[in-house]
Amino acid sequence: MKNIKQILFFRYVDLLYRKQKKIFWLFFIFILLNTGLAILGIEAPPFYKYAMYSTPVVTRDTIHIYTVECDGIPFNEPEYWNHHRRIMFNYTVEYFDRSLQNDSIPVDRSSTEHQLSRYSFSYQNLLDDIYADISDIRGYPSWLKAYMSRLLDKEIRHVEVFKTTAVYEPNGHLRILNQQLLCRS
Amino acid sequence: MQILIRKNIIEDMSPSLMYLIKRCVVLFYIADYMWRGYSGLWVCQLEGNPMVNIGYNPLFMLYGISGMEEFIVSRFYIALSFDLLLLLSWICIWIRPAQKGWQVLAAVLFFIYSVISPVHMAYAAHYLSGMVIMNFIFLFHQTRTFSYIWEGMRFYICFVYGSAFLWKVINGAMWSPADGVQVIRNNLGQYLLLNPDTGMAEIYRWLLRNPLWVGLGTVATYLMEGFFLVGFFTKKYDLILIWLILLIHFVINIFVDTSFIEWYIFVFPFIPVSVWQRGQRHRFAGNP
Repeated sequence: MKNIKQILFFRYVDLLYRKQKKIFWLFFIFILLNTGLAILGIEAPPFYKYAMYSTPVVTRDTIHIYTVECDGIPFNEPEYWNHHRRIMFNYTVEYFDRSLQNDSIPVDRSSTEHQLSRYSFSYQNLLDDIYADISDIRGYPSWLKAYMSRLLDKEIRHVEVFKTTAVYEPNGHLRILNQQLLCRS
Repeated sequence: MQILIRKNIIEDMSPSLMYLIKRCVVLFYIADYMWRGYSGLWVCQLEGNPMVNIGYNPLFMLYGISGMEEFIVSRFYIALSFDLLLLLSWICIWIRPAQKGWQVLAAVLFFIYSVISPVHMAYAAHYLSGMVIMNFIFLFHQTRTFSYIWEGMRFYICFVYGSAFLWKVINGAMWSPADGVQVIRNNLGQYLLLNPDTGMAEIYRWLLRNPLWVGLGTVATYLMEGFFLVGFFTKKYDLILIWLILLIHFVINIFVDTSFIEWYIFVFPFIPVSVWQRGQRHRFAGNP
C-alpha cells in the first residue's frame, strides 16, 4: 500500500480524498458514469469514449466522394485553416445520402426506433417530436443553398450536390467510375 | 504564497496565478469561437438546419425535448444573441477573472453550444470534447479547489490519450497498421478529386504507393497516444507530452484531413508551474 502511494496518480487521489472530499466524490462519480456509459455504448457529453478509429477499418476498393457546386463552381477550400468550413457540408451530406437510401427516413430515427423497440413504453411521440422526418430530409437542398450563401457571403442561385464513385489506381491516382447528381436546389 | 506544491501535487496557488491560468484558457476559447465564426459554425450561421441528428444519445434527446432548437437555433436574432453573449461572457472572464457569474454563464452556454454543434452538423464529432472538459475549470473559484481540479485535468488528459491507445489495443486497430492507407483513401478522396495537381496530392499518392511508411506512421501515432500513460506516474516528461499533443493532431490534420486543433487546449495543464510563475510578471496577469 505504501508503494502504491509512491505513484503520482495515487498520491493525488490520496490527497484529494483527505483534503477535498467533495471533489473526490465528484471525480469518482464522473469516472463511474464515464466508464458505465462507455460500456453501455452510450456517449453523451461530457462523458466521452475515446475509441475512434480503434477498430480495424474495412478495406474497400471503391470510395464515395461528395462535392457541392455553387452556381456551377465547385466549393473547394482545401487549406488547413479552412477545415472547419468544410465540415458542415461533409457531415450533413453523408447523413442526407444515408437517409435517402433509407427511403428518406432519417437514419438515426430508424436506429433509435430499433433500440427502443426492446422497451414496452410508447416512444412514437418522442420520435415524432424531436427527430428529423422525411420533410426535413427533403428540405436539405434548400437549407444547403442558404447555408452556402451565408458561408461564402454571396447570393447563390442554385447548388448541386454530386456523389462520385471512384477507385484508387495502383499509382495512387483516382479513377472515376461514375458521378451522380444527388440533389439540387 | 504563489503556489503550494506537496509531493509534486499542486495543493494551492495564489488567486493571481489562478486568474492568469483562467485568462490564458479563456483566450483560447475566444480565438476558437472567432475561427468557428469564420468557418460558418456559429449558432446564428446554422440557418436553422432542420436536419438534426439526435442519434441514440440521451443528452441530445434532452436537447430535442427542451425545445431549444425551436427557441434558439431557428430564430436568427436569438441565435446571434446566444453567440454574442457567449463571446461577451468570455471577454468578461478575461477582464474580471474574479467574478463568478460570467464564468458560470460561459460554462453553461458553451456546454449548450457543444450539444447544438454536433446535433445540427448531423454527426457526433469530437472536435469540442477537449474544450467541454476544460470548461469545468470555470465552475471552481476557490484557489485550493481550483488547484486540485487543475491537477485532475492533467490526469484526465492522460486518461484521454491513454484510453484512446488502449481501445486500439483491445479493439484491434493496433494490430492492423495497414488501416492507415484506407483512412487516407477515405478521408483524402475529396481533396485528391478536387486538387489532383498540388504538391500535397503528389505526397499523398506517394504514401498510397508506399504503405509501409503509412503503417509505420500509424503505429507511431498510436504509440504516442500510449506514452501519455506515463503521465500517471511522473511529471518528468510533461514537456514531451506537450509536444506530443501538438504533433499527434498536426499529423492527423495533414494526413487524415481531420483538424482537432481545438484539442490543443489540452496543452495548458501540462505547462510547468515555473512557466506560469514567470507569466505572472506580465502586466495582464493577476489583476482581478
